[in-house]
Amino acid sequence: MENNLNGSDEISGLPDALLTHILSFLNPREAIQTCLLSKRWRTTWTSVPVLRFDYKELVPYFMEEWQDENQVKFVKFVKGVMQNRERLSLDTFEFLFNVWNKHLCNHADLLSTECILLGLELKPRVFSVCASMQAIWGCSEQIFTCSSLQSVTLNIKSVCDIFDEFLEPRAISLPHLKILKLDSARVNDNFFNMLFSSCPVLEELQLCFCCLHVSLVSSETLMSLVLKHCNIEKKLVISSPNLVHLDIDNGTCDTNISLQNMASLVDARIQCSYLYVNDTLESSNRGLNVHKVTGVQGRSQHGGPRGPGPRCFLHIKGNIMIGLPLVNTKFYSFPSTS
Amino acid sequence: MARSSTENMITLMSSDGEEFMVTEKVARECTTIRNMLEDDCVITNIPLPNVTSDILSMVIEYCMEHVAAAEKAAAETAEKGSSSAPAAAKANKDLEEWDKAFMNVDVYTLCDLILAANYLNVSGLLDLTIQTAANLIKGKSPEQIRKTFHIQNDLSLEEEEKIRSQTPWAFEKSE
Repeated sequence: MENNLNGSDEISGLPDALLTHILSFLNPREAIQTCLLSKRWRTTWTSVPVLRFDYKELVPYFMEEWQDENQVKFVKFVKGVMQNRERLSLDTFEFLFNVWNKHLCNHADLLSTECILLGLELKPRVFSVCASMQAIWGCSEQIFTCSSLQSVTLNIKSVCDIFDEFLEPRAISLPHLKILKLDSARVNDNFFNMLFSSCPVLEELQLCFCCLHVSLVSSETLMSLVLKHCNIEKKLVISSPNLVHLDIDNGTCDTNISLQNMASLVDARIQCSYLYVNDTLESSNRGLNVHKVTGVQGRSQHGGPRGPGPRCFLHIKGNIMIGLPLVNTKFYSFPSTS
Repeated sequence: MARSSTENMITLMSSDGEEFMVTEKVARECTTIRNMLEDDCVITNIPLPNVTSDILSMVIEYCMEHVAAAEKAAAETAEKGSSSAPAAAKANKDLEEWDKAFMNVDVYTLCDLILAANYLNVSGLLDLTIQTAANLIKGKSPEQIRKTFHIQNDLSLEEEEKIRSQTPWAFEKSE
């Protein structure tokens, strides 16, 4: 309050670290425009540690998303911010170019890759990208070897409606990665092997709308695994002694999952057509305690009470016990509808 | 709160010499004070030369409210074995409402609270005040922001033009 005596305003008297903290809560466009407030604010925006570029949020400024011109404006804006800010490391870099894939223009793709690379150069801790497959493929090597990353989210906008290429960086080296979230990626065993051997502290893995050509998820460190609406192409064995939380929701997809070596599991929600629980589970100290099994239920594609695709809801919760005949119980009933 | 009489009391002294008696638990909400107590556990009187009495009383009010809410939640969990989700959600919502009402202050007080929360390292209060300040900037033109925070524009028209021309991409609007 004393500050006000000499005519200066309070907010401009705050230290730089607090001003940039305030600007972190604004979108980059709002943050930059504070450079017009006064001399004090001219360069404040250049050291904001959090940059979230969200096309959907900035779109009112750029009008209709399907206009190529506006897409190019968006990426040019991102490039402008990245090239004009201080070369200070970032806490969070988000680049969400969430345009309906058929409307993505090629030129914007190339520029997107450049933007993502500029973001990676500033060694962020939290990294989240939603971009076309082409744009992400153009920098996947750099993403998967950026050593500062602790949390990575990749949402891949495929140009076609089907997945075509595997996400397969040549090398993975993410010594600090704790959280990995993938949306609409196609992954194989090679990717998973590299991932688990090159991310020594990976705790949380979440895959949504992914295509899994994977036979084994085996990690010593993984504590949470979420598979939602994935296309699991072959029998999947999950073996993770430290896994605490497991959530598999595959709707009516025909999936075949086998759980092994699950000594730490306390909270699991599995909804799939086949579930196998391996012997190793029983030979561990604790077995699985089926807390709630909502058995075979029918659901019509048209919302009727019984439809052609009965499925199994399995809800496992609580302490794990030995001796339940899980192995011999068929928790599935999934007649082929074809 | 019934136990507070048996709890350790700490005296906090503001820059203008006013003394505030608080429980150790409330004082520990301030990481800066918690660190002092951990370094020297017999300390009972802490001078805070950077915080005025009116701001300090607000910081203490915030800490007391949050300690009470945490205690209430812990007591409920102990009683029922586990906290019921709807009750916890309601308690959270109540606390959010309280925070919101607490932030109904003028911009000078807000800035003083930011400084105090930063100095005393009360992370919840710092987040709350910083977010409140950001909300006051959001969606406003530079002129409106200046008015809100009483910022003197010391840029000449030429300087302003220069900034705009140096970073045209920042001010570009689509047709």
